[in-house]
Order: sequence, then C-alpha cells, then structure tokens
Amino acid sequence: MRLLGLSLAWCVVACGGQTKTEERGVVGTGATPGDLTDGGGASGAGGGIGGTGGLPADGGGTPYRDPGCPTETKQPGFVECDVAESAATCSPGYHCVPTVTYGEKCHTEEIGTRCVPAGTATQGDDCTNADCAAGYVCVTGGTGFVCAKLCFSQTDCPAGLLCSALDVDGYGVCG
Amino acid sequence: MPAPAVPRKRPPGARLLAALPALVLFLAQSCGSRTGLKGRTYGPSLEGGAIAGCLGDLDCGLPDLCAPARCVDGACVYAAKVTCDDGDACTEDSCDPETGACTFTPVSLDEDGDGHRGPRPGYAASDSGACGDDCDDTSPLAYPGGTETCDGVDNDCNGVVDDGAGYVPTSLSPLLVSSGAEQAGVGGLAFGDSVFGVTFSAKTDGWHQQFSAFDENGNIVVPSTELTHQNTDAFTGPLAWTGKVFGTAWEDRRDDDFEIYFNRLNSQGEKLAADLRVTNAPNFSLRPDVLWDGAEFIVVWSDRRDGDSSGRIYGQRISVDGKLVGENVPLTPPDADADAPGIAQGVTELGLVYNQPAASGREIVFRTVSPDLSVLGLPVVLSGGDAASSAIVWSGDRYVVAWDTESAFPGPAIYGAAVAADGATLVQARPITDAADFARSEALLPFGDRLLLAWAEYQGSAYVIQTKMIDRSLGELTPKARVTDGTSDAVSPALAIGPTGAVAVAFEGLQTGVFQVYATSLSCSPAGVRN
Repeated sequence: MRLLGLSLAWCVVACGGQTKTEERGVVGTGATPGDLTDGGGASGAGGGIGGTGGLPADGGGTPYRDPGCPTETKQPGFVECDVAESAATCSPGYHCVPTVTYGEKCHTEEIGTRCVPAGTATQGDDCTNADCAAGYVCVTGGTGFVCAKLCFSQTDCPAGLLCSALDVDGYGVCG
Repeated sequence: MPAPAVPRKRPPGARLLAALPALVLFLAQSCGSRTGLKGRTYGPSLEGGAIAGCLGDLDCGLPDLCAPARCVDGACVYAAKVTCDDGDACTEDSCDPETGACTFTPVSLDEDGDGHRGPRPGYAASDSGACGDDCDDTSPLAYPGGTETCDGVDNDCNGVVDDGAGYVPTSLSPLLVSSGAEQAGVGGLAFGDSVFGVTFSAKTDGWHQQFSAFDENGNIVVPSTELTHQNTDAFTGPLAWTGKVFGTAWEDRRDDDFEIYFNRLNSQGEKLAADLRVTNAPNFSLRPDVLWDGAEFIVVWSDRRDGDSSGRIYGQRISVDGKLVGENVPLTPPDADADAPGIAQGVTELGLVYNQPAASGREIVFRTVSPDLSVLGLPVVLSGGDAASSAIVWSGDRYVVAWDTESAFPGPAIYGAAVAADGATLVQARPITDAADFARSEALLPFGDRLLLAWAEYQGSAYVIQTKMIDRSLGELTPKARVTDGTSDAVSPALAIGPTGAVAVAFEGLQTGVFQVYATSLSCSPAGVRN
C-alpha cells in the first residue's frame, strides 16, 4: 500500500499499497523522460536500447548494464511524534502517522512522522475526503484511498487481515 | 491521429539547367512529380508515351526501373510500369525501383518455425483472410494437426489446451524464491525459455523489483536478481513472455512520486535496455498490468494525475524492442475514480477490468479496448458493491473475470462472471467458491474450454491456497484442492504452465514470520476433468 499525498501506500504483503501521508518532498521539478538516474537516460519516447538505437525484433542482443546509483545512507526525515505513543506525542484531536519524503534522482526517501487531524474513518472506510481515526492511516491498495490500521506485526491485526508492508519502511497496515 | 494533409505542389516553372540536381531532389521529396521543366504536360501520356523537351535522362525523373524513362532525341520516352502481382492475397507485392524486380512479401510469418504461419495482425487463425492458421505462433508445439499432450499448449489448435486434463497439487515442499530478502511479495509469473520467471518486490536495503527463475523440477536456476538500482523504493509488477523475452512493468519512486517503468528481460533476468519510463505525470501511477498481444506490449495502470479522487486507468503501447508507441491513453472517464486494472487479449480486441466506486464500496467494471487503445467499448458493471481485486483471462470464446470482495474485512467467497467479446454478459456474477470465513487474492489460468482457479481461503487460523478446475460457465469441474499446508498464511497466488504440463504456483507465505515468495506446483492429470 502507498500513503496518499499526505498519504501512505500500502504494500499489501507484496507491496500493493501506498500511504497517503507522504511529505511530497520536492514536487514538480519536471523530470523528463530522459532525465533519469539509471544511466544513459533513454527512457522516454524513442529512448534507445542501451543507446544503440534498438535491438533486433527477436529480442536478442547484449544485456544492458544498469549503472544504478551510488549507495546512499538513508537519512531520517522530520520526526514530530511517535506513532506508538500517538496520544502522548500529539495534541488532542490529532494522531501520529508515518510520513515519507520521496527521494529524487539517486537520493533516498526520508521517513518521518507528523501529527495529523484524527477523524472517525476506520478500516476500509474511504479517506479521499475524510480523516482516519487514530491508529489508522489513509492508503491506496487497489480500491481507491481507504483507512487501514497501522501494524508492526501480524498480532496487531484481527483474524482475516494481514499485516502488510507499507511503502514507509518500518510500518505496515492491516489489509 | 492521421498526419495532416500536405498540399500537393505544382512543379515549378523554368529553371536553369545548373539547378536541375537540386530541383530533382526537391521533387522527389514532394509527391514524386517527374519534371519541373516548363512546357511539360502530364497525364496518361506518362506511361508508354513520349514528351518533348528533355536534355538528359535525369530530366525524365529519378532512375526508376519499375517505371523506366529515358531521354531520346530530346524527348522523354516512358516504358510501361512494371506490374507486380502474384495473385496471392497473402503477400504484399512491390517493385524495387533499383532493380525493377518484383518482391512478394508474406503478410504473415511463421515465427516459431513449425511450418504454419500465424494470422496477419487483426485476424484470428481461423478467420477467412487470416493468411495463417497457427493458433499460437510463439510455440512450435502448436499447429493444426498437432497431437495434444499435457504441456500447457493447444497442440492441435482446436481451441482447447491439454484437452480434458486437470491439475493436482504435488507433494513437493514449497520452494523459497525470494532468498536473501528481508521480506517479499509476488509480482508476476510466466514461463519462457525453459524457466518459470518470477518478479517480486524484495526488501533489502530498500524495496526493489527483483527477478528469479526456477525450472519444472523445482530448482532455482536464476537466483534473486535485483532489477532496480536506485536508492528509492520500487515495487514489483507483472511479467509477460513474448516467445523470446520477458516484459515487466513496475511502480517506481525514483522521480519523486510513483511512476510506471518497463523493461524487457532475457530468461536470465538480465535487462535488455535502460529502464523505460512509461509515465511522467503528477501524483501516483500504480499497479501496472502487462500484456503481450503478439505484436506489442500493452501496459495498463491506475493513475491519479487528475487528482486523488479522480483515479483513471491509463494504457500505453510498447514496441517489441521496448520503445513507447504513442502516448499514455486514458481508458476510463475522468470522474470514474477507477483503480486496479487487469487486461487480457481476446481474438481481435482486449478486455479491460477495473474497479470503481459503487453505492456501497466498489464494483467491478469490464470494457473492451482495441489493441491500439483508440476504441473503447461501453463499460459493463459486472458486480455489486464491495468488490476489490480482480483477475481477467480470455478462455475460448469469452472473457472470464474473478474477483474478491472486501469492506472492513475480506468477504467469504471469490466471485466470477463471463463476458463475450462484444461486452455481452454471458454468465452473471455469482460466487465461484464455497463460503469460507474469508477469501481473497484470486488467479485464473485459461485452457479454452475450462479454467484453473487459485485463491486464498481462510481455514481455522490461516489462509491456504486452494485450486480447482471450473468450466466456462464457472461451474465446478473438480473439488478444491489445497496447495499449501495451512500451518501459516499463504496468499496472492500467481499461475503459469510449463511444457510438461506442470502448473507453477507462486505465492506469498508467512512461514518465517514475514512474507516471502515461494513456489510450488501442480501436475497434469490427463483425464483429470473427464467423467
């Protein structure tokens, strides 16, 4: 699952989700199709195959060596509160959720936390225009944006739900 | 969009002789007019006739042995054009202007070398005018008159794979595919070039798209291979086999938000090009599905470039050599908030399935799409509310769609429906598994007249992977059979069949306390569904 714009994306086990609580980092820098980090650009329309102008239609040819990125140590993001101690570290009416600032080019994500308004939406409720209750985060896992309970292990989830990895390292959601 | 019409240029008037070479070049680029000399006439006399007023052969046009012209005594003499026609509607006939020789190029090819040509684009093998009768031109084991064996192939091109066979779980212990990962999840599974290839998300220093491959005997032949090398996360996607290479798409965060990327792999999991960025749009682009339609890759995905509440399904054509063909094409309306697409290939069109908001929860929607993504069929709602993930395949004469349901918790059964190529519902939505505490994550493998269904069902204290054969009307052909032992959760099955009839099942298992990707297999039982 993946977090939504202030949202996480949840990796349903296999990473099917994103949260809605990402800190959108440096947004809109206008990366172009050829402005990539995987070496050689060439990923946009008409981008070459390893810069050779294309392989024969039989798909053969020399494997491409992806230069990748130099390894970079992850830096912590802004930490406003403690997800495990949400009530103690956020003001009344707020709860603590994980956040992610996406890295661009070869830079890493930054994982942090923020206090956000606590609503009443719970497991499976749409959160496109609603706030999730304390202990839940807004994620996308294939059915729009819904609230999902934060978890750290399988024992945090009721029977039938699985604690699946979120795209924010160290966190999961029941789904 | 067709290219704009170019105004046809009249030949220019008088020119100095010294300007002729440039003049000829210009004319060659603009409609093929033969000469620019003043006083020339045009019309029927161009063929087999003579026109006064040339100084040399070049003045009669560029050398073209298909329509030879010479300057004889100051006049252009035109011979009759060479006519190339072998009388075969299955060739493209043309004349080589340099040699004057005719060439007759087949409009269809025998790509797999089995002596039978595949159908021309846009035709099925059985269609009149198809110019090829090979029902599967990616497999030399499939051709009209072939002998049916248990190999996952329609050997005799009768529209049915492994006629009458069923598939039963083997006793082999699950194979750990995602070795070396702290945690992993399944993306895609496909058979090609003697191996079952698997794509999966693996958490190592971060999340990366990885590839591994195993053979039909359950041996890892390609250890986990990292496909993404950024410091940002990438999450896995499906895998498709063209007959020569794998194609895979995934969601990738290297560009600030999630974008869809694509690449081709050989059977060793080696990338054949730099990663191809498929999307370049604001907000999330997620959950790609990939299809190889015999000519191009088709990638579809969920896209929120129009806003968080305006999810749309987009599609992109990608050429056989891994280049974008055209642009991202929206396949759903802007206000539908569509999500989680799946795509399958029918005979002449593609079938697209996705979910969208309903009165209660979400509903499953089907529509057809032309292979060039330009023509969309009317959307057909297949399900009631609370539908979630779905799978779609083409089987024989119809699309079969299966889905699970979910509100706060997964629903009790997997549902299914069948749709004709014209979008007509052939089988209304109904449960296709018995009620359980919970059921989720379905997969389908088509055999023409029947299908293999796999899903995860909650039994006692854990999810187990179940399989069974169903017919095209979604009726049960064999009782369900457990693929995993139920000692720990197993979910998210993916299916693929190999050349000895073994069906590989990749899934996510919690044996070690964190999810990893495993594989097991089903063996072909030649008379498995016969009475």
